[in-house]
Amino acid sequence: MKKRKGNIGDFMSAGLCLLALTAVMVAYMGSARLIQKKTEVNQIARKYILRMETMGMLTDADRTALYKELEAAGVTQIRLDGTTLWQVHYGEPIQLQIRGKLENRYEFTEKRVSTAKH
Amino acid sequence: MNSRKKGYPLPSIRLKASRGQAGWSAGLFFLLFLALFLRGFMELEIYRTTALYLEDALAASNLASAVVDVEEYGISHTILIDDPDEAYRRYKWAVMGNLNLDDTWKGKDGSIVQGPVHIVNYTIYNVHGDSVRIYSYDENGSVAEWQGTFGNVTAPNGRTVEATSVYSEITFMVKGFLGTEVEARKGNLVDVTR
Repeated sequence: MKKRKGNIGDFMSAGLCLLALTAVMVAYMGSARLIQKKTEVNQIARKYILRMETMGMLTDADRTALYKELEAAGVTQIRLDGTTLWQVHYGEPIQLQIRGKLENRYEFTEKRVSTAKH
Repeated sequence: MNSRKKGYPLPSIRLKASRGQAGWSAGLFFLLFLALFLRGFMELEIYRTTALYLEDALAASNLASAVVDVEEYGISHTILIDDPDEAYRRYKWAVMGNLNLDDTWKGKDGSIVQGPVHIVNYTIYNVHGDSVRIYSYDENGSVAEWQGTFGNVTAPNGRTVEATSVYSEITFMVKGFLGTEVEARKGNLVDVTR
């Protein structure tokens, strides 16, 4: 049986387009997942700054729990430099600063400030 | 010269070439369409996330500024924000921190919030019995002070003030689709007694 001319060309164009479509979709999914993870980190930071407001600091127990939650959200190389780790008085400034990496690649800084209300 | 009249068949190579090109064109068009569609969808997702983040940061900054007069609370069990000027100063500090702005009030690299951020309104509603004492700071930081009747005072976003509250409103530039920049405005009323 004789092969039709041009079949390989058609197949190649379709294959390459399909490959490019897959690449675009994978890139989109990756970006969407990153946004979702960052939102998750935002919510964790929000939860802990509210706790810090009522405690006047980030307590040791809260710090351990915060590390666990961040790790569960996929954050690595977590640092809390600049975070209020000592007791402050009513009305004084408190700060929670989370630095880390998402997917071991994308660096981020999540900062929340408030005043102590304990 | 008309080749059909002369009995020559139409060259078939032309037909085959155009069929291949049509395949490529359709594929590339679909690819471009999908890429643009996903990019647009991603922008929308970023806007939605940013809107939530800003609303959250604004509410947190309002609450951070509201330090209650403890003495007054001890005497009359009334929640009042004691020093409006100090509260406004705390609010500016909190907005800068929560939106991660630099010293020139601009969003840092990679931030969707392009600077500078302007505080166009910061208002404290101190509710004491049937009266509401209002302290309002404009874009220049000038304060206006007046009194209203409880139940008749509404915040700029239309919500009635039911207890001691703080309202604030900011404007900022947001990175849009294909590098465009649009001005966005966000306002939030927070009841400090809840």
